[in-house]
Amino acid sequence: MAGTDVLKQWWLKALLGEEMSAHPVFDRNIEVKVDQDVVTLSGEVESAEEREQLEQEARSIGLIQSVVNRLKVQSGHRPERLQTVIAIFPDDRAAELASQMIAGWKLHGANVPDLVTDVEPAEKCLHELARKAELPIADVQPYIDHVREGKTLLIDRVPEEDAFRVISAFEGTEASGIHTLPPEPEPALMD
Amino acid sequence: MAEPARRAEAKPETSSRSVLRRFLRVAGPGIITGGAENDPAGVTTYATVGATTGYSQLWLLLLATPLLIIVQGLAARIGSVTKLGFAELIRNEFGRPAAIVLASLVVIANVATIGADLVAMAAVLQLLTHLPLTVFVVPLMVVLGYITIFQDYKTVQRLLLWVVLAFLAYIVAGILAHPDWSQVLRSTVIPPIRLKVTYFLGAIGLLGTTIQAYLLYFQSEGEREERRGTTHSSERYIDIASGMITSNVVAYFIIISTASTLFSHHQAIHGTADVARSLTPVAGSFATVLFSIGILGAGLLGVPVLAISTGYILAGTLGWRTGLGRQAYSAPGFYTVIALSLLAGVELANSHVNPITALFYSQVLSGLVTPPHLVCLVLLASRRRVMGAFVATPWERLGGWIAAGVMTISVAALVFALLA
Repeated sequence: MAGTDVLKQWWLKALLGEEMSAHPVFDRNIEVKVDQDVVTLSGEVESAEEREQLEQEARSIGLIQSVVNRLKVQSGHRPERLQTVIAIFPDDRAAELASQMIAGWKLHGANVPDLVTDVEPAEKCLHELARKAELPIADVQPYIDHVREGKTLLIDRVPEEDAFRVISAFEGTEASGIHTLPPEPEPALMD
Repeated sequence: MAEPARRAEAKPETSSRSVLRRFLRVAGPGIITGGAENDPAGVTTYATVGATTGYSQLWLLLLATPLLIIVQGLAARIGSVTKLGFAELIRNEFGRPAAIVLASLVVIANVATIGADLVAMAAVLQLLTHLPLTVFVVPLMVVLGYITIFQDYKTVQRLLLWVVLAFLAYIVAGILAHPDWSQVLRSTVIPPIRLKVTYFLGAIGLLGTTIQAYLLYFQSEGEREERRGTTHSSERYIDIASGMITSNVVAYFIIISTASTLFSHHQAIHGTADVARSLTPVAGSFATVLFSIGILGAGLLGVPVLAISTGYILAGTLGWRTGLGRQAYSAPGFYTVIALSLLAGVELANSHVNPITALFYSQVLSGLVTPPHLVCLVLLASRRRVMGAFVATPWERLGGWIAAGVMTISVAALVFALLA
């Protein structure tokens, strides 16, 4: 309980411009700027998880409309692996809506999920993704079968940490199933 | 906004604070699941095991600890690799009917345990205040419901981490009970198996409260809530190992405290408060108060985890949105299940079921539903289609199969003992 109070106090002071000490849990200084009801966070953090958590903490205080997260993950830290999230939709209309929503939320830079309605592009795309995830092609066949049955796939290849957010976003749509391919073993250095 | 000079002043930190901060960063679902294992039902099961079989089952805790670390590690691994919860993975890989059957079994066991936990907490408050037990059930549910539903995940997690400290009370109570340490040590390393129904009931209750299906769901979903991917495996194992070892050390001392007092003096347990009360003549009133505080802390930690797990299980199985990071309006099904599981627990607590019987058998029921879950877990963690290059190691798989085997043998032994 005491720990929670300390955090809340820290954020309240930070929002009022009074906080100068390091964040009580992450032990680092971040800049918190308030412009009317928009808060901008900036500075360096150690991981994408930390970046995400600080944003969530700022939101949970409840006095602000939106948070602009300009926290940067320190260079030289763990490179991220890429992972593919696949959502299955009953038709292309539902998939298109979900795609627009995810693109609008800018969950991971400028990426827009691939919308796949035909068998041939599905095979081409999924075979390539299976190769990157070091999976046998047979393992992605069930997804191609869904396309063959008239369903639409929304395929999003994102940094591993962002996969959590993409899945959460898909959960709010008409997707009848959400799957992931395993993370690609070779890490990629992200922007 | 912050001036560089003033920032610099804030930099120097004492090493103990720094260590605590680092620990708080790593601490996550592992510590919480470890603590939740020792909910009032778990405490009562351990206390009953000590009171009815003495020190003779301490060896099981030694056996269960590495197995528990391995199975919780597997649950965390599937969550962090796939970014999906255990319930969703069972549905995706084994089909919706299998997922619904497995989920229903755990939900029944969870609701029974919530009811039993509420009765146990109310009984301890009755012991401390001398007011009727029924006065406390609804207020307890309201407090626990508020913590679970209206606080965000990080707040709940930090609160629960502090509650884990209440478990130190059991260690002190165990020492105050003046156990025969040479016998304790002997029973820890040499299994004294006895062919009695009470022995096997105790064994399955003990294993059932140590390795539990709902904790597998909580662990895998916890990795999602923490957003820990494959690059955080070392943090994950520190979190899990520290949680499980702490949990079983606490369980060890609970068994020691009742084995040294109740078993030695041939006293029976008729209620959770009896455990606390009966310590007074032999270990002093301080031990009773400590045990009571431990039960309340155990409930504050265990009941939210049970209710949240029930939400994860049902919502995940039915494809609803889940997550403590979401507001209630954004995941209504998930939060409704949490609220209903608490209400069902209250209903059970207000019925006239003997609390000690409800507590003990809810743990036996948990033990019965765990083996099929362990089989699914090991299959999922071994499946290359699901895990890719992050498939469980041969040692982890072996540990998982041993855990599934040990739990299955315990269930079979119980059935055999009941029929004989």
